[in-house]
Amino acid sequence: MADAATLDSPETEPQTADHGHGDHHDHHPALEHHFEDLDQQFDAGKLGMWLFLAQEVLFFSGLFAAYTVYRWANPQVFVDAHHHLNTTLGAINTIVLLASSLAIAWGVRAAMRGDRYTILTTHVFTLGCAAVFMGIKTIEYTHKWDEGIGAGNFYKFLEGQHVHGDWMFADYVLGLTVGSLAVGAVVSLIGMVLASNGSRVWGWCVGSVGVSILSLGLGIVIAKCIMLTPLEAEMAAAHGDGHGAHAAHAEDHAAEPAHADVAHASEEGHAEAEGEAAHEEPYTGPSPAERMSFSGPNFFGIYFIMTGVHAVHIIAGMIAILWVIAKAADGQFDADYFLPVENVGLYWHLVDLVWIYLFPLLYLIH
Amino acid sequence: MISQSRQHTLLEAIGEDPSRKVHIPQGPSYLTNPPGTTFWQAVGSWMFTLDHKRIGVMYLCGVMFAFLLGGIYAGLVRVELWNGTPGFLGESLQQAQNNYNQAFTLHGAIMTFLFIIPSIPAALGNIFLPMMLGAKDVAFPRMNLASFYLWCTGAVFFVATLLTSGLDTGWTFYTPYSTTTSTSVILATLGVFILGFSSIFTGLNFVVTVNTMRPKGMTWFKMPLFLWGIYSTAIIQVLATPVLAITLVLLVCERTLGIGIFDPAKGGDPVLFQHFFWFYSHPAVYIMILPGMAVISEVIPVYSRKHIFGYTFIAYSSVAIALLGFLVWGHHMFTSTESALAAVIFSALTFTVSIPSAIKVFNWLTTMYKGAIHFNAAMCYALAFMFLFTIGGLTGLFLGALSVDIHLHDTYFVVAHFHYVMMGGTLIAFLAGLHHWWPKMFGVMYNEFWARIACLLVFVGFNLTFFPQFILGTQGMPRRYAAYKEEFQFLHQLSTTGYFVLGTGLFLAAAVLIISLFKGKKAPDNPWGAATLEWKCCSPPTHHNFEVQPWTGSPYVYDDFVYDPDAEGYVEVLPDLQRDAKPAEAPAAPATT
Repeated sequence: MADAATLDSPETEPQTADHGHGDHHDHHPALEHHFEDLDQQFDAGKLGMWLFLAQEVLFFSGLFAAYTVYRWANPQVFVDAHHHLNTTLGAINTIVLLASSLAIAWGVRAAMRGDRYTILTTHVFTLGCAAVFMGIKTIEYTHKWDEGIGAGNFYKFLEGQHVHGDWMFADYVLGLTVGSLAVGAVVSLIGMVLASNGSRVWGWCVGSVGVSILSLGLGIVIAKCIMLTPLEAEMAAAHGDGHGAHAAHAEDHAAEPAHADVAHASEEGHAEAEGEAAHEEPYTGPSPAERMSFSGPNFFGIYFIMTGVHAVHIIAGMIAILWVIAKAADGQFDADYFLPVENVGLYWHLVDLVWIYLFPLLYLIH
Repeated sequence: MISQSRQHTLLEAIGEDPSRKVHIPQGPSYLTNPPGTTFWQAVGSWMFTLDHKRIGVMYLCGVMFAFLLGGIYAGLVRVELWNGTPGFLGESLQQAQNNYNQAFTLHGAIMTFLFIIPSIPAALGNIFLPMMLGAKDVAFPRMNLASFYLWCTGAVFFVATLLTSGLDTGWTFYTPYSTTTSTSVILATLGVFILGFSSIFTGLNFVVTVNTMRPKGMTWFKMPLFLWGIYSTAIIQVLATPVLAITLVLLVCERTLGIGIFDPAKGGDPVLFQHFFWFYSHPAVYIMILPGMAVISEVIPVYSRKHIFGYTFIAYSSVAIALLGFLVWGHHMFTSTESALAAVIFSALTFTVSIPSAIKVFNWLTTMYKGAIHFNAAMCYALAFMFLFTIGGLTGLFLGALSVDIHLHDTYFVVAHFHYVMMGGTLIAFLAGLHHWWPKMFGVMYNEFWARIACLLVFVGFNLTFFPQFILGTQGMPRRYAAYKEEFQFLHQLSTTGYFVLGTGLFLAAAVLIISLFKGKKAPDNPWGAATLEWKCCSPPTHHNFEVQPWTGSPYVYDDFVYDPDAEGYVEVLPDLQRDAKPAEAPAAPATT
């Protein structure tokens, strides 16, 4: 409380000292007219949030149901297609989101204790994590685009070919990185200047936006570095998927012996009399690469919708967190009233939880 | 209005102590603004109001407009079907059939999404749910207003659908047709998506309000049954609607991006859409009927002057219907490649829904038994509801039975069945509620005689419209066809005639109510002698509903409400029990707490 008191400008300081717990006649500024007391308002708000979360779970349930139906119907397609996802990036994103959830839970605890400074720092950290997540997702999505793996009609994947001509997102990533780091740094600085000049709310808000943009750049850098490490290239080659082929262009395709053998064998299998060949060959179906080109849309349609809807929720959560930061900087929360902090925290945990399911279901299947 | 033999006078009831008559303080109506308000300030005071009653009134206007629009499309359908050869809706046969497809689709979609689903919960529920709780407002007034504007936005999308290339998928948007047709499927589905969130917000608000804002002394089993019905509805709204929302997102993505979820060429499955759609839309049927049942549970005991029979059974049956409603969606898909085992399970579960529905009907009947029944307009509608809903419910059993459904699937029998439930049920209940609460909402009395005539016309017209459709269906007339064989013509013409009788009845009912707004007598605070809390404030209520917190008694004990000839309505008389023990406190306490 001592920290909070020194941070507050005098005009926004609620008179917490005068508040007796359970004293109904003492009107808290945040108490709305149709509630009897803050307890009732808190119960209503929190129940409302839980119902909203139940609604969100059912919103996602349609996607999970579709996933279940199609994975059950085409298990091999899912195994083939998921090799085109980068597990390391998914894992880092999982860690980033878990860290953000820890931070926001800490922030809610701070709100209960009335520690306003910790509310602000934890929420800015959470916002930063969310932006790192989005940065990494940006690289994942653009990389898919460059490979020709899009959703639905934009799915033009052909093993080892550049389907979009010469126009590649990869060429513009450096500019995107430098741009967001620079803009983020400048905006953060403006925020600090504003804060030191006395406008606390604007300072924290602008600063938080700056941190977000900076973190977006950071996420892009992390993702790009991961994808350039030798380990990733090896893994890509071992899976016989598009990562290695994409990096080294079509000529290097033949340098992946395991993959080429399967493809070659299956072509022969089709050419020869099928009855005899079936006994000799262990597998005569289409190669993973061939399967990818006609069955991939099924997996990636679901992948892009699921992760896309999740990303929309992340962005909505970032806006909500920014709103909490603004209110906290304005000194609107105290130990008696912290409902928005708690509700946004609950929402953020749900966003995290959905990802906890998406990560293994999309990235870690066998 | 009341038989003299049953009526004891106010003087008799209050004995020698006039202060036992509960005085209801009067205040400025929520409909009016303070003197000196300019026109634009008045408009703003409605547009940005957070008062649940004003939002409810705006909803009421909105859904009535939607009902009119949907009704016009129904008329186009019925007039086209006067002859077996299409021609009314277009010059050429092809054109007439295309327009016919559009007319029945828009009739269904508008009636379902814009009218029936919001009608009772969002209009009547919004006004009376907080008042029945003795509360000042719903838990989240801003979200309540947002839900109204979402409804408006959804309605705009529908109007945009009409003005562009229309919609011809049927209200169910089945794939693969909905992914390939050239009509405005995206506009319509976005409209439904937005309306879905309007519905979710309303439901969420109601659940929280009932859970956290009940007055002291009103435990769950002392709530009016209207609240149980609306609460069960709200649970379905919150839990089922998001599944429809994501389904429509997927449908829009399928049309714009071709993501392949429903497209077999990309590994998708068009039947999955039906599963998703009915996972919402079957529970949505209970979103439509449960509020209707809730209204009837209020109306019947009041006009029978008798405590509701089987309170707990009616309360639990609402919850049971809400829960069972989630488990029966497969009965819409008996002919859509469902496995035999799944079909049997869904059929059996479907039959179980009839148990709680029958519990309600029998309890209403038993409530009326030996009651002093007053045939007011609201009660007439309630009786019509019981008759029509029973027919609708029983014919549902034919459709739930596997072998019979194969014959009746997609015939006019289905059309007649769901109109008996949706229109004969929900719409009639809506009218019952509208007449019951009209004096409280607007503070005026309508003309009982003409309201009852309207009710009779609606009842006769309804049966004339839809009963022949049962026969048509069993004879094999398929639904959604503009053309038919000559042998069906007589029944179709009966049905179309019924449409006009029904329409006349509805217009008459509307006229009676609208005229009352201008010429009606001022309503007493409690014209029907009802015991629920919304009648314990002035008519129309003030902005804060209650100037003093009302005394929470049993919602169905009518002994303490006696007719006051001076007020031309009922007044509450406090029990005499403690008069001798504590003469000073007993009369005053309830009025001031």
